[in-house]
Amino acid sequence: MSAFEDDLRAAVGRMRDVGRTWLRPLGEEADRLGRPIPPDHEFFTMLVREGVMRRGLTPGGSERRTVRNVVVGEEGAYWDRGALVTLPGPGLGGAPVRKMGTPEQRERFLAPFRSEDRPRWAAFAMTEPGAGSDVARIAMRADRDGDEWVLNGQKMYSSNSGRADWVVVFATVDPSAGRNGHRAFVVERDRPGFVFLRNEAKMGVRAYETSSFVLEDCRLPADNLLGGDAYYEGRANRGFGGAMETFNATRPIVAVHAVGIARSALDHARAFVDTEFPAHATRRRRRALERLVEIRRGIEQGRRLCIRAAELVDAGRPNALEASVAKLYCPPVALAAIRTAQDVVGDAGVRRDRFLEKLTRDVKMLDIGEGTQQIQRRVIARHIVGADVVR
Amino acid sequence: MHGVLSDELEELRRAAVAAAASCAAGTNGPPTEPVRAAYAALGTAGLLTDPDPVARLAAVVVLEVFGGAAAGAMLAVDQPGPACGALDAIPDAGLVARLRAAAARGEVIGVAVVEEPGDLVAWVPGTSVPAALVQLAPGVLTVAEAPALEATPAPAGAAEASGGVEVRVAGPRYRLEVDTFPARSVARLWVAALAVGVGAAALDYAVAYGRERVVFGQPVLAHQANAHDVAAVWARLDAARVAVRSAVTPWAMTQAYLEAMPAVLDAADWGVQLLGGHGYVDDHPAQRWYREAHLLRLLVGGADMAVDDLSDRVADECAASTDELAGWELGA
Ligand SMILES: Cc1cc2nc3c(=O)[nH]c(=O)nc-3n(C[C@H](O)[C@H](O)[C@H](O)COP(=O)(O)OP(=O)(O)OC[C@H]3O[C@@H](n4cnc5c(N)ncnc54)[C@H](O)[C@@H]3O)c2cc1C
Repeated sequence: MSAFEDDLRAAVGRMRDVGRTWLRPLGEEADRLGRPIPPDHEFFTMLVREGVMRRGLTPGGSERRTVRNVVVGEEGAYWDRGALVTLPGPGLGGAPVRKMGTPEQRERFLAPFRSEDRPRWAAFAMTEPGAGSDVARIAMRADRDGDEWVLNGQKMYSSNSGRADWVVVFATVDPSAGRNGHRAFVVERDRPGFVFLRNEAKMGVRAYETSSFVLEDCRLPADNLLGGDAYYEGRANRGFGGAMETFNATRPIVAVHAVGIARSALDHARAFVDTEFPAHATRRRRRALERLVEIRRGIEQGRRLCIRAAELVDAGRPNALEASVAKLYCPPVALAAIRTAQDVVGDAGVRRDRFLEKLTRDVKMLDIGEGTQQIQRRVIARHIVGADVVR
Repeated sequence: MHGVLSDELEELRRAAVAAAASCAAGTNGPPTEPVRAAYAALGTAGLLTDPDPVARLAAVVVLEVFGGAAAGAMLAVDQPGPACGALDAIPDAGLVARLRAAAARGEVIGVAVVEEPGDLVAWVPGTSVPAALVQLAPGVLTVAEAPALEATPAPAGAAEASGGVEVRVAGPRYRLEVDTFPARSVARLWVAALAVGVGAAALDYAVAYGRERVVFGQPVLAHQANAHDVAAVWARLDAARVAVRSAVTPWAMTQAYLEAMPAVLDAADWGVQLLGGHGYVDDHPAQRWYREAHLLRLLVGGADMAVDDLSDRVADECAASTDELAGWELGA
């Protein structure tokens, strides 16, 4: 086994410990209460205090970073996909800073995450009430005023933005220019003009908040523009392109969360078969076992697709097609796995079991976030048919 | 005509729509009591077990409407339909009369449970149960009335509106040896009728939304990929509705259930999907229909028990070499 694999296995083991002790119970509690895990929860302070994040719960090393995140992410989602997303760190906000930020910006915004004084989060805000899939329609305005930028508009469905130190906000300098007008900014939450609106009442993944906020004449120093002016010179669509590259890197990670969820459904059904269907109860046992085989096939195949897409990112090669294939494949496989597990558990599922029912709600989010299923189909269609025909 | 409504039934359906709308509240569905009252006022409670196919169709039509409007609450309303399938086998005329009266009020009087070890414990949506019919094993039905029932609140899973109780049969009970397949089949018809209503409501809502919301320069449903997918899902749901509305025999009722449940899941799934992120949050009812569809499919033992029931019948047919398929029905 290579050193990389050793390291990865250790990280998965750490995630398993954290998952069993914290993610699963906290995720279930958040679901029951219908509110996110509070940012001042002892779980987060413990993670930081004991250096768990630093030692690499989601490993920090730069070698094959995406593959690591995929493998460890699956383990985290196995325990609870909602609670996993609350783990301190830059999260979805980190990718655009790494991809588009100048070296100074990377240092300025990401370095604090290495210190251990308190848990920190960042967030990503593209979606608006009027623009989700069709990001070219975003209406958040960015106007230059001397040395500053002034942002005005509303964002919604921004995950973890209620607890974030800063949020990467996509805005436009010219709404009529579509994607060519896009710019990405880091907006600190304590800036005047950052007005928190509300947490959305989600049907699943309730452990983290997904929120709306408004920027009202929110003034930012010029160097909060990711990449600085130079980044956009001569290539007006680089803001949009940066967002898309971000998705290519994060889609395999989000897709693999479905694999983790499917695995937890499988284990749930497996334990049930073992205790409730003794070997002589042949009809139901046999049928259950055949179904477990089917679920496993989906899990293993989904995992393969996610790792393939992640390997390409880490190798610096294009992966938009492969990322979309993984993202299209995995969530429905997970939903089918959960339904199958419910069939195995049967009648008891209604009366005693909230776990699988919760998974049916959690997993649906994965058909929507990071590009809906239709958007994945569109990406794939444009690759295989041609962007000149599929618009 | 399979699934095509007469003028009278169409009128009943419209009345049901109005009645259901009168108790609607918010995107998470109305509470149980107003729904029970509105439903009982329509006069179809308990009719699912009526020998007259038209009466049964009337019940199905109303259940579809109330399924779409208030499936959560409906779990605690008129569940007797199913259990009443076995009423005729109960030797105590007084008990039967009391159960029928409760049924006409739209109360839950029972639920069938199989393979439950130990004490008789049933999960019943609702807050109290005047009587329970508990099925322990194929062919063995236990009937008990309120004083013999201990009901304790239970977590209701997705059925937020209805709450739920766990029922323990502690006192005197009847133990009947009957063929429980017909009772289970009526139960399945009841679930399938509600579920078809859930699926239809989800699709209608999503179609209306998808006509308005613009993505990539045109309404969501102007994108042919979406319109065609929705059309396919709609057609499957329509087929399920025909099966549910025309089911007369226990066999056909169980078939209708098997036809309906996957179609409804797909419809509810698209109901969320077409709204994107907006389908995932409480601002719209799509998430409720999604949860309800997932819950409904688990009732009455789920698809497995339905398939088991039908395979037992097919096994009998094989042994008897009868030709059931030669028979056909015109429906109500
Ligand atoms: C739990 C959760 C967390 C989220 N977290 C974040 C976050 O952290 N940051 C953030 O920016 N956003 C976040 N989102 C928002 C998410 O990315 C959007 O909801 C998603 O992109 C879809 O956008 P929309 O909701 O506006 O749907 P719309 O774009 O309005 O889509 C409506 C329907 O049209 C379909 N559609 C769109 N375009 C096409 C097309 N070309 N062809 C065919 N069909 C099409 C869609 O698939 C969908 O079915 C989150 C959402 C959820 C539910």
